[in-house]
Amino acid sequence: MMITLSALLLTGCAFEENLPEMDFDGTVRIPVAASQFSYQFGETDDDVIDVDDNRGFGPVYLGAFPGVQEGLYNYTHPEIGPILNTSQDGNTYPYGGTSIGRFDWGCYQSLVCKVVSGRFATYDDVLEYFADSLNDPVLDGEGNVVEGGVEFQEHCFDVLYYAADYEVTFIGETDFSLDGDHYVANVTLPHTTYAEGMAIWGWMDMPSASGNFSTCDEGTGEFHSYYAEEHYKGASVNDLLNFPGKYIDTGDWVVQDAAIISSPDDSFDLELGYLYVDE
Amino acid sequence: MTPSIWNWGTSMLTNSLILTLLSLGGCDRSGTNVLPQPNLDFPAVVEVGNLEVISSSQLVELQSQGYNVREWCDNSGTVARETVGNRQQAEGEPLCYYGVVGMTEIGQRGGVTFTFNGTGDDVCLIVDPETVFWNQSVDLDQPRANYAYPDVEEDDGDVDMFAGLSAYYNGSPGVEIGDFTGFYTDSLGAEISIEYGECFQAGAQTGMNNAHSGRATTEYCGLDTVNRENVEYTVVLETFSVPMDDGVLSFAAVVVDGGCSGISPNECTLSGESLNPDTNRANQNTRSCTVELEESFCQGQGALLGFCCNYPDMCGEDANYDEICKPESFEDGGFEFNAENFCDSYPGLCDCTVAE
Repeated sequence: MMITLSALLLTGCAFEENLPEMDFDGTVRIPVAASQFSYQFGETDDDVIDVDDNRGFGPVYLGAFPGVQEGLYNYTHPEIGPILNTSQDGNTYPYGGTSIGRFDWGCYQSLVCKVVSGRFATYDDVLEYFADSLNDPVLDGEGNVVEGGVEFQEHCFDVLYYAADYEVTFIGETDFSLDGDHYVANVTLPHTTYAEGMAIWGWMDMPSASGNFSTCDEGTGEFHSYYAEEHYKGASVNDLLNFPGKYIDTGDWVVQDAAIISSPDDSFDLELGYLYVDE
Repeated sequence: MTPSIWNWGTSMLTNSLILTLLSLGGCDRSGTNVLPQPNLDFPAVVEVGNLEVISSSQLVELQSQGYNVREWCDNSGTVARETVGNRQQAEGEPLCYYGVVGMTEIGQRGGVTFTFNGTGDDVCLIVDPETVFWNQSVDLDQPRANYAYPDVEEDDGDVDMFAGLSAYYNGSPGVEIGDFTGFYTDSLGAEISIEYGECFQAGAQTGMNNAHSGRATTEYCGLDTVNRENVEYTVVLETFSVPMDDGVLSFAAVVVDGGCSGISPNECTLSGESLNPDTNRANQNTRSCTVELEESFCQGQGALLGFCCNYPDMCGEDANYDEICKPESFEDGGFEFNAENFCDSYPGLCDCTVAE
């Protein structure tokens, strides 16, 4: 009887569900030039610094869509469904998607919606980027400059109730590596509904001149309450892939040639080769 | 095998058989005994026709009708026409509707539909199913005296409101209740359902915009009809539950010019919607004392408790009258009256006579 039961269980392991969802692996390439952008660290027009640092990369959003079209926007954009109201374009109805990096609360209010996972190796890396590359040092809850990685780490452990660096998701292994003229990252679109001929397309949200990302909302997300520190931790907007045109703005890098998937076994190679500048 | 083991085994087998038979018996329970039976005298799908959008001043006039409200609405086509949004009200169209709908066959959708024309501006859709519902306050630590008396749940019904452009409505008015679901086929042939309904009601949780009120509670939503002047909309009041006491659900419905924020609809925005279930429309009048019951509910300040203690037949039948209506109950609530002198404080809520 036990043998029969075991045999039945083993048979179950081999059951093919024929689900239409697949994982699609690929690479994303971003031109080296994308690491160059301007940042206004003060209130006057003179307080602008030219940055050349790939740690400033925002999240790269990727989606699988039924197709892409020219002419909807000033860049290649997924096809859209019916326009249901005058204040918003049609939904792209994506089949799936993912991102390379995501907004991560950086333990301080001054870092809300400014830190992206997969961009920094260490706490000092974060501090160095904001202080040296942006000329805009990280401030603690009292407005004082965070002096070093140890102070940063201790504060993160306090407010996150963590005890090890591997739990802190905005430091660690970085996503991109330099390969010739491009920064390259590997990525997987998980559990994506497969349709023959679908297009994988995406863009990278880059910080505006004032350092803000259009895809992050500082006024939402989990609320942080720790003694005198009270603020939202920020969160990505929730309709990014449905309405990309709402969020792509000047300075963002967009896929010009979408990858067409013809087989469930296909992989893709995308270049975010088009710098969008609003004219 | 020893006798004790044999007995144990026999006992287990017997218990298993009994349990199996009981389980099979449970399969016979359909739960239909807790639902009212359909009454062919009252159709389960009702089409009201077209309602004119009512102005705020006409709404005030409607609210002053008391027990004549159903009749006033039926004759409201003769009320002087006004401008609503960007257009003039159509001659002869009623401004509101008070009516009844019957119980559906089990497993079928029932309800009411009506239409209205866009004004080119915001409008507010309001529906109020009979009668009034509240949860009895049974908290011993922090009792809410106003809700100390139980509600009569058997006289309460519930409808869920949906609305959108008539062009998107897929039901058959008066025959079959539908919805506003449409389908879009993308370039690869994938079919995607799209909600074309525009009546979104906020829920208790952030981001929830497809909520509906519970039993006997007013539902409302705002619609923006800008650029859709004279374009027809359909409103669906889908039956969710029908009162157990008579198997007929009465309701009131209106479309008000302007958004909902200036109205803040509540139980008393449309009162008198609990109608006698008579097949002759002329006899579908507001049930006695239900207007006062609704007004007491909206009044707050313990008026509901005072009303129920004076009109126990209008409130929960399983109430412990002596305990709930004792003077201390009113003292706990800090009210300036009690069960005995309530009518002196609220004479307007005490001049009705409960029907036999």
